[in-house]
Amino acid sequence: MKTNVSRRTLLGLGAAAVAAFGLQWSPALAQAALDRVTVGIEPLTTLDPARGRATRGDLAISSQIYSALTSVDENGALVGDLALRWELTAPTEWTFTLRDDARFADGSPVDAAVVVWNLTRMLRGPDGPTPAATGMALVDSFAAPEPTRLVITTKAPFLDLPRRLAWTYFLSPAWAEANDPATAAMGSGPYRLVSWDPAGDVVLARNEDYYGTKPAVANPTYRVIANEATRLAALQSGELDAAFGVDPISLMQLRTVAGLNAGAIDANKMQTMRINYAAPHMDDVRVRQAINYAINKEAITRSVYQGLVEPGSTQILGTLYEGYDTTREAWPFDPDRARALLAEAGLSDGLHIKIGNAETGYVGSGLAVQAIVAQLAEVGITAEIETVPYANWVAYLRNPEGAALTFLAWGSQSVSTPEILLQLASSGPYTHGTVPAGYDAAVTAAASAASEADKLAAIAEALRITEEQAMTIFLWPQPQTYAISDKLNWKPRMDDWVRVFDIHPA
Amino acid sequence: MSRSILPSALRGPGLSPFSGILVQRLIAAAFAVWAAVTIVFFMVTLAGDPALALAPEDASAEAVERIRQRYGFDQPLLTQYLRFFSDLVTGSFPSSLYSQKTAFQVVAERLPNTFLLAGAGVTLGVLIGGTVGYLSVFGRWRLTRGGPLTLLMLFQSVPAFMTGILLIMLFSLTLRWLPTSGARTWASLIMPALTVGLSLAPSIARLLRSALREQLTADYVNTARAKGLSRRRIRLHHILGNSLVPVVTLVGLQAGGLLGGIVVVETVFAWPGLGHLLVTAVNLHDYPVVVTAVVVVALAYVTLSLFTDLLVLALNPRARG
Repeated sequence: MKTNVSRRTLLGLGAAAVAAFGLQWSPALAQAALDRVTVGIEPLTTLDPARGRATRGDLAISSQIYSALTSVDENGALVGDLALRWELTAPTEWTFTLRDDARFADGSPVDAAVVVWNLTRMLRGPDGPTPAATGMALVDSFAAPEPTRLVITTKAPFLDLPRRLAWTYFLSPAWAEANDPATAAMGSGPYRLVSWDPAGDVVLARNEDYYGTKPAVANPTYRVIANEATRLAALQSGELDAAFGVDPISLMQLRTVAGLNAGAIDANKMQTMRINYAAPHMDDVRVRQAINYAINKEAITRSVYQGLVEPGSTQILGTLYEGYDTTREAWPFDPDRARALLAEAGLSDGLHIKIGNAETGYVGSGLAVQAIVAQLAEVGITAEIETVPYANWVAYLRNPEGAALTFLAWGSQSVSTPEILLQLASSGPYTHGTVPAGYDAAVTAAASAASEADKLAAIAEALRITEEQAMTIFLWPQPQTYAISDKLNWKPRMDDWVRVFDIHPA
Repeated sequence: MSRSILPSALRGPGLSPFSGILVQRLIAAAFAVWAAVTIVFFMVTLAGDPALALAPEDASAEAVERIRQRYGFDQPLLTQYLRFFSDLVTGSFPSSLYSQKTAFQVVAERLPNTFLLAGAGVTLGVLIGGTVGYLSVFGRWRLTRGGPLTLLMLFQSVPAFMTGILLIMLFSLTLRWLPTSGARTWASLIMPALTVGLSLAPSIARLLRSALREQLTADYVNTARAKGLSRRRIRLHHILGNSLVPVVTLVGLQAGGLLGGIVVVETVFAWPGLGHLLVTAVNLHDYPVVVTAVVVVALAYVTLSLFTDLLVLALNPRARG
């Protein structure tokens, strides 16, 4: 029997079948994309959260295996992790109420005593304070009166303590004493460690017993690829589903790759040049202002940074930081004013300075520093670039005889404003020479303010002095570059955390 | 009668030329390893302060000083060196600054990967270089004599990292046959080994070509022809056999040097070997790991060098005196 079916009917049936098939399979395909996700990461050193430093490296892994009291979410907001709530029970005393259902993988509870043991290890261990003790100098003592109650007393009011504790992770004391936390892990966070190769792959598996919201990705892999060209190739070939901190120049290439979303947002981190007041003429505010006037930030952001960022305003805070001043604008480019200020400072014949730059570490800094040197030459400042291997960068910054200016990006893992402002104070590890009057007092007041209003007022004062005294060379926000597979619903963060648990179902 | 290159005082009455050279080489090797350890120790410790890497970022000068005291970094450099060296000699390797493992354990974990890559690279280098060198003399057509050698010469002028990137573009991005990086499967080994092999092959090919051409006109070749031996036998057994001595020496030296120079290839392909470890350890000022890795590389180099010398002796009776 012959049936008459028109071509249009056939096409319609076909289209309907494809649509139905597609509808049926889309969730399955989306789930398959989430089952295995591979993310490029910086070289790793340790799994021990007390010793890790890099937010895009060691700490990114630790932060997904271990729990903290609090956490900074993808929007920069402070949220509870182990701590259900926290309150200031006295001007120098914080009380944290902990959840009672958090367990390590071996079933032991993550209670206040565990937190106390870990804080002791980090702050008062046999080797002295560990890198995880950064920003905790105000912490005086800690106690666990109850399994779910933790009391931390500080030497002065420390309003930012809950924020600061967002990257303090806790090991099981019994496990840590029997194992090497640098190379093994047993945590209570959203993922469990399957394998760890600091030069290869780190494989995680979703912790099905996790007390919080279970992550969407079941089996993520972090892949260590240090070489930029190889990382780009891995993204292009589909071996990597995501990578961050891509060079701005490479973004153009990645934008043409099908299946990849590549772009940049403003990082919550400002690129600046630190001033060494101990270097010749750098204690003269007119010289510091002249350098600020001499740099055409607009030109550099358009060329070197491919327009991914715009000139930053006269503050070293990113937009997520408390006290960020929306009314401030970029320092104007005015080479004539720069020349006049230098002449006023008795430097009509010119000035010679050194600019330090880390070999790797700050997105786009290599080309940006070269452009800055050329612009400074236009106003009579000859600058010599000292490119420093990253291995020696901290020692270089701590050396008072180092360069007059050093390219730096200021950021805080816990998005704490006082932590950033303290970097420019006399007590800052990279500060040399005499800091302009009033700044130390303002920053100390911000760090130890007893109320939010006092803190904001002190921050505003510190920002005013920073601008008035040209305490840094204000540049632009660091571009937070990313390349993410379009199969993943992963919103890039303004900070440096690379956490797979930020991926949501499509 | 055999002659030894060893001074008679060192030779002893019963030492064969092999044993004599072995003793001499062992003495030289010990000196080379000591020199490498000493130079690297001072370079690493003078290059930066490991205490800063272990301290909190905002640590006070006092806190940093406490860490220095704890690890002995506050001691005079010579004291630190003597302590480190005596630990090394007695086999009690110091711990890595970043884990509870000894520096030797950390290095030993990566060593197989580096040996695997170096071994595969040298094998490919010898195969490619040997074949091209042989063809450049005995190839049937002009194209087979000149073409492969010219192509190979291109790789001699291209740095290894560039060769690596080009291979990635071809095999990973265009053809999608091989993974770009890592050491997850056997396929991961192909491109890094090829990169190493292509960096070695041109010099092997050129040297073999010169050696073969030199042997071609030797009297014993004419004699072999006169005896009616087959062309194949003359080429493979006589000419090639006698041309191998300089090639073996070159391969031995290159293989030894390769262990130190493989860093670039390991970095390009994120190959988790010793080179990769060295870069990370230098960045972290983990000097026990850096110096231990250098000791291992130096030992491997002198061992290979010694092995090469002995192989040359075995291949070339005239070298035995």
